[in-house]
This record gives sequence, C-alpha cells and structure tokens, in this order.
Amino acid sequence: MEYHLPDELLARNVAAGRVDDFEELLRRYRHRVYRICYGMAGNAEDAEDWAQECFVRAYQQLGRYNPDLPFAPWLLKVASNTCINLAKARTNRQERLEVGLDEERKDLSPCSDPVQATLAAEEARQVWGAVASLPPTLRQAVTLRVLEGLSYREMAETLGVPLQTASSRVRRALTHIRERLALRGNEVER
Amino acid sequence: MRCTWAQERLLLYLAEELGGHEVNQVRAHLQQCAVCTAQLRELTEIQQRLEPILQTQPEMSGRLEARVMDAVRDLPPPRSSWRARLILPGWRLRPLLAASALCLLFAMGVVFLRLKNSETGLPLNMVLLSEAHQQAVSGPKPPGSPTAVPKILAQELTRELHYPVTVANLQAQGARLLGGRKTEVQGTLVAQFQYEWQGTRISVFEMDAAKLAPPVPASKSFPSDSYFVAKRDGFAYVAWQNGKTNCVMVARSVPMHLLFPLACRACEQIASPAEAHGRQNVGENSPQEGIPHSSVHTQLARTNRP
Repeated sequence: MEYHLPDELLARNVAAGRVDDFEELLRRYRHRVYRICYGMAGNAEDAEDWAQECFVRAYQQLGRYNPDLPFAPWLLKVASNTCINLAKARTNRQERLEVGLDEERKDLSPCSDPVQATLAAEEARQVWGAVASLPPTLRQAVTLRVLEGLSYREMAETLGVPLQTASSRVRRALTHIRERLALRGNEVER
Repeated sequence: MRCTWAQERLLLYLAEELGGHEVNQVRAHLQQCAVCTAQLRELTEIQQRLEPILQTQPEMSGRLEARVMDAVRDLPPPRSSWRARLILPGWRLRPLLAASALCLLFAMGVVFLRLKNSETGLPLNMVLLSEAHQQAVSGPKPPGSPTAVPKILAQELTRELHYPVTVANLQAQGARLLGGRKTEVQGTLVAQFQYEWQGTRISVFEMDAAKLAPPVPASKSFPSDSYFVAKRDGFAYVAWQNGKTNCVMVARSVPMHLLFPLACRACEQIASPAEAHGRQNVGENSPQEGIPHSSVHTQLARTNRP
C-alpha cells in the first residue's frame, strides 16, 4: 500500500536532504509557477528562465518552510517575489516583449480568418503590452488574480497582505490597463 | 455611504468574497450611485476582455524539470533557520494518511492481537511497556545529560545488554533526547530511551529480538518497513523490527498521526547507526544510508484467537 505523500511532507523530506522528492514537487507545480512567470515576464523564454530561478530559490529556502502551513501558498509567494525581483532588475524590455509576442502569438490565435487572426493578435499584443507597463507589484496582482485564478483571499494569503490590499492592487492594475488600452485605441483612430 | 468605501470593495463584491453585511451595503449604494455603477461595469468589462487573452500562454518546453534538478543537485541541502529548528514538527498529514491510520487502528481494534509464538522471541505484552513508560515519566529524569551523546549512550547500553543498541537522533523532528537506561520488561532487560516532544514524554524501547517480540507483521515485500500500531487506554504504540532488535515507541495522549511519523524516522535512524550517531546537527541528516522512506507499508498482524 503506497501513500500519495502530501506536499508538506515532501517539502520536509527535501529540507532533510532528500533531493529526489523535490522532483515530485516540481512536477506538481511546474505549470502554476510557469504561468506566474509568464505573466510577470511576458515572454516564454524569460518565463522558463524565471521559473527555473523560482524553483531554485524555493529549494534553497525550504529549510525555512513551516510544514504546519500549506505548501502551495508558500511556493507561490516565493515564486511571485522572485519574479518581482527579476522584473525590477530587468531593463528596457518593451521592444523585446512586443517582438517576442509577434513570434509567439501567431500560432495561438484560434481564428481561421486571417483578418480576424490579425486583429486578435493585435489585441493580445496590446493587452500584454499594457500588462508589461504595470509596476511589478500591480503586474504580480493581475498575474495571480487573472492568470493564476486565485481568489482574493488566496492572493492575500500568498502575498501576506490584507484582503483589501490584494483587491486594491488588482483594481489599480485593471484601471491602468483599461486606460492604456483606451489610449492606444484613440491613437489608432487618429 | 461614500463612493471611496464602495469602490474599494467592488472587485470583492463581483467575486462574491464580501461578507453578507457589506454585500448589502454595496448593493444599496450601487442602486443610488451612477458613478460607482459605471465603475463596476468597467471593471467587469476589462476583466472579461483580459481573461481569454492572459489565460492563454505558450506551452513551456519539456526542459524545465531537467534544468531545475540539474541546478539543485549542485546545491548544498537547504539550511534550516533557527526559527525552523524551534518550530516543532508539523506533521500535518493529509486526511487520506490520517484516515488510513485510523482505519488501521479501527480494524485492529483496541485490544492487542495475539500471535503464535515467534521463533525469534516470546510475544511481548505491550501493556508492560506503558507501565515502564509511566514509571519513567513520573520518576526523576533518566540518567544522562539532557544533551547526551547518542553514540556514547548507545555504546554503554550495548555493552550492558549484549545486543546492538542504536539511539535515534530525533532533534530534527523536535524531539529532545533526555537520556536512556536499561529496564526490565517481562523478565528481560531492554533499553529505554526518553524523549521530550511538544511537552510530552515519549519512550523508545529496544529489545533483543531473540528474547522479546512485539506483534510486528512479517512482510516479505517490505521486511524492514512494516509497523504494528495500536492504541489502548490512552497509550499509543508503534512497533517495528530492526534485524537483531525489536523497537517500540510509546507515548500517552499523542495522536497516532503525529506519533507514527516520529516512529518512522526513528526506524530509519536505528537502522542506520552511522546516520543516527554520526551527525548531530539539525538539518544535516542525510537519508543516503538506511531504509529509503518514500512510502509507508503497514499490514495487519495475523491473529490466533483462542
């Protein structure tokens, strides 16, 4: 009879030196961490590098993890804080981000009509551009809420902030994105 | 009600994460405030516009796992902070594991199972261990300093008892070794070690397998990873075999789902004296030697009812 070991126990095993158990944690959380990194980085190449960095940081900090508490919020907190630091350190990414989007998104459009596909790609480009223009903490908020689908309570727990703060960051982020998209639309019309 | 107060709560209202009282207040405000109603509509529209776009990402390559594992294998083991050392073990097992342990206890009942005589020793009456445990708890602390060196303690008792004794170092699990002694159980001398864990005393008995045998189920598949667990009269028992010695962990008023992982760790340590006695620092125990403990296998003992 084998047990599916809970995350918390695996984390304790890793902290005690069982490196192999980290691979199971990696397998369970790689998609979630990658989604967060993609939302923060804005392109696949950086997202994978950032995801690697997030997991390495998590491994190094496992000695400080308290297994009395759920593992997932702890890991997501480490990942989102790591992404914040990487985003702040990154400079002059706007052009690279848009070029990267062009190369990546043309295969993602579900439209068979080339005109619609072009419009959809342009819409995606503008949205991702607007997200990229957010300050790191607001980008983190919209990543956790919209990409990752966390509830506001889960966000608050992950970030270690009050519920109102989590909600406020998302509201400011959405307002910023909406204004930027409206601005872009006016520029196009002119 | 002010618009600022309401606008701060619009997203929580949309997500249905507001408390009942605040929901009513926001709803009442929206009914009479066009500005806030417009903002609610804008927030709803922008979320609906963003979600299908932001929730679509390129697939990641299959290289991430290999890259991460290559990176972490080159790193030293995670270091625990002084806080983590003070935090007592959080054996917060998932309900499945806890329920499985409870099912085993229920199936085995609250009375001890009787086995046919083991070829390796007389059947052990576990109740006597609880009596020895209580005597140790109610008496003065066992001889040996609170920071007794496991290796020296093990050597002394091995010399006195004439069978290999290993002392489990459970510091990483927050259990402090108080000391050890020899004591008589069922006419046989056994080693008894006392630990202090979360304000509770725990005893680990090690006995010559040729003389005394707790009812540990024999498993061909997992000969070194089978346990007997039982609860009776407020005492919890976990027993296992370790080659020439049999071991039993006893504690009073400790939930089995908390005691069992401690026993598993003690089993690993006792099976690997180098690990138990060689490394004294918290967080540096390496499971390289000894029994791999990636899974737990327990079996019911066969019963021979009169």
